Amino acid sequence: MTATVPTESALEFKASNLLTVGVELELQLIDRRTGDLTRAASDLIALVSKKPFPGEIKPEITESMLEISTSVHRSFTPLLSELISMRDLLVVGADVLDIEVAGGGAHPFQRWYDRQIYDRPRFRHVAGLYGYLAKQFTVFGQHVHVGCENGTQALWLLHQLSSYIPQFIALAAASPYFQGVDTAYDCSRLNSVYAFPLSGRAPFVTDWPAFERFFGKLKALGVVQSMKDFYWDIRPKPEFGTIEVRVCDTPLTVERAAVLAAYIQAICRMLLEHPVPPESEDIYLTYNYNRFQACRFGLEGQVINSATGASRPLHEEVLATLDMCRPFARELESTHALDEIERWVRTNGNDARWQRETFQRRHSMAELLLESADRWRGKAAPVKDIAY
Amino acid sequence: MDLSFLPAWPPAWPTALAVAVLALFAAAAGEVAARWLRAPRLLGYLAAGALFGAGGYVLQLLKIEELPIRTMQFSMNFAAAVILFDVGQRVSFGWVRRNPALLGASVLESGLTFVAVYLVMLALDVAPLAAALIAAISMSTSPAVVLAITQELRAQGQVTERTLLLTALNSIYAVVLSTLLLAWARVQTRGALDDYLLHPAYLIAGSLALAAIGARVFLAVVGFVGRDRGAQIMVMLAVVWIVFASAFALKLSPLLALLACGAFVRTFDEQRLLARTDIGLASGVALALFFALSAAIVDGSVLFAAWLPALALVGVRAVCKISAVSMLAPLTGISWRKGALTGIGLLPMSALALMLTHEVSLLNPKVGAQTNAVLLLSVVILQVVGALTLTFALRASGEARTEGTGR
Repeated sequence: MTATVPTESALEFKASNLLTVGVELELQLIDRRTGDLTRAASDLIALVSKKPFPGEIKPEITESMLEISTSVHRSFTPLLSELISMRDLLVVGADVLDIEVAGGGAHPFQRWYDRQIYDRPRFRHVAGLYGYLAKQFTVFGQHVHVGCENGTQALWLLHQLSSYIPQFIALAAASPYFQGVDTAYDCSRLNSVYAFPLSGRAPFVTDWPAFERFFGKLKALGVVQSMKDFYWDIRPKPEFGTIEVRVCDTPLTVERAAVLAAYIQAICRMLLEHPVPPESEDIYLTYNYNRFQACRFGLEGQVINSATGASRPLHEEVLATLDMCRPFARELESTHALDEIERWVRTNGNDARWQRETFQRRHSMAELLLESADRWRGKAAPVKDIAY
Repeated sequence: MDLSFLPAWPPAWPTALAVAVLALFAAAAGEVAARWLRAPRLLGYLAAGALFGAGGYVLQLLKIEELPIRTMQFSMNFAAAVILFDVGQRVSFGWVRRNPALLGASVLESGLTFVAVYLVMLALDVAPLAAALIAAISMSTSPAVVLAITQELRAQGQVTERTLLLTALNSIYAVVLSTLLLAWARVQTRGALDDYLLHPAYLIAGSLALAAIGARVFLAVVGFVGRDRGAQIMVMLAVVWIVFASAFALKLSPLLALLACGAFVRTFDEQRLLARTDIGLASGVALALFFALSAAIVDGSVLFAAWLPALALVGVRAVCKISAVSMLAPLTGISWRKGALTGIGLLPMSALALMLTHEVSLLNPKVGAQTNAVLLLSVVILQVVGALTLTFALRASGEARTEGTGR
């Protein structure tokens, strides 16, 4: 036993600049001919790493996915431009290898038994532990990190932010199709995440020493080895000094990813400057219900406010939140991003809606995927329809 | 009692029945190879064909005097046509445009192979024309073996895709170059210079035009029938048959026409109909038939007639292909290691190469005999060894599916 190493030291919360943001995107690698997932992660990573790559590019659990992460940003515009330059480098690399890169929360028709686990000790461990779940877990999320000054502040913000989780789910939802069927959900991805034992919401622990004790107990019991074993919707990331919002599907474009991050950032600023008392575990009474509504119905989902008991659709909820946080967005120079959120809500909705419309137009999930890849490139999808 | 309604005993079986009986044997042998020997199925097909052709017991049982070579050759050619079309549509010429270094690698591996094999054949006293033809044909990798192995392993990734692309390209070079050489030979024997340009020009341009028409027809009809897999396969077989028969009728190259037809389908497919088209089942059947039939009709008596040049060819060709592809690998965007594995993947040869020599034999029997003698043994070796090295390359690169049958 390594009793000499105190469990606390592993969980030291590294302070970061308040409200700085960073984005991680899990992306799918697609075969140009069939639209199926293909094995290309290690080749694409090796190829784009030959030149300096902004941010970071990492393998994920299977050879059909990879993860890009931005550096730390204070505002929307530089975040967006970094994401665009990462995207452009990936597109060039993909062309050299004759594959496509695409966003979206899930591959619409991949067969999980065809997936090859990326060769790294942690991934082999996960695959051995979770079996088919690990392979079925070929789903793709956007993670948004928000910087906090200390652990207790991080936990406070985590619980405050949890009432906005349904909005993030609904706005980012991009996984209506999974394993070849229309799941009826706008976001089916979170159902896959739910199969893991340590998923859902974080426990209602509100100060960092208490959290360290909680983690220490679970570790001593052998339930977890590191923070990575928690698949919570929002989790603290002590080594980065952030909280990490993990409920967003990877959007179909980097522009959407940057806009979502800016929205989360603006809400966090609002919460810090205008804290909503009182803080009690009652905020979680409606959590799972609201989360389900957002996954299932997207922006049409009905959410219940646990404090007032009022119920309203998420699109109204988003518009009301936008009104409240605009002043804070101005200070963060992200007004443009919030305008964009309003435009989505008032016009075309989320990516799940585009995916369903495209499938209805093309009658083929493979073609839907290839059109998604066009969107990721920043190309307009071909409008030509098929004559039957 | 009048028993004339009964057949004579033993019955007079139609000789073509041999093909069907062979197909049965091949299916079982493929399963034996896969299940008990953990070897590629195609080795089972080849073994079934070889036993069938060499032993002759089955024929005696059926009271068939000799192999229905013409029926078998025809069936084999049609199976080859299906295979070539399928390989063609897996090849993306757009990729070469976006990554031109790939074309460089392709030209280098083929060019190096041609020059080296030619020089070695001359050194081993093969006549210059035969040496050049052997060298041209040895540039080509077998599309049949590559398709069979990549499908069986459900391989996906750069080594797989590059092996397919380079195979299609080197097969095209082999057809074009051997055609030019034949024309050159005819200029020598007949002295008419117009042949030098006219025949290859007609053959190449005509085959490509036929391919383009076939591709347009395929896409139009497949787009119309939609997603019904049975209908898609029927359309594919029909188009392959039309292109195949037209190529013969118009004295074009069926090999070039079908490979190009598949590739044009991919190129012209702006609506991405291929994404929902699945003809793998049909080409799977074609592959089994092709390997079984090609092994059944091998003429064992000339197998070892030129063993030294044949073995030299196998060695020199391997060195050229592996070194050329791995040398240029970093320029084309992959590691040396994956480049070398792609080179190893390019080793298979198959009876498709012999179909080219068949053409030579018709035009110039003496050169044809010598070409055939060298290539026959090389093909027999590289069909088996190449299938195994390609399997190794795909496994070593992690591109082969390794676990769970899942079906």
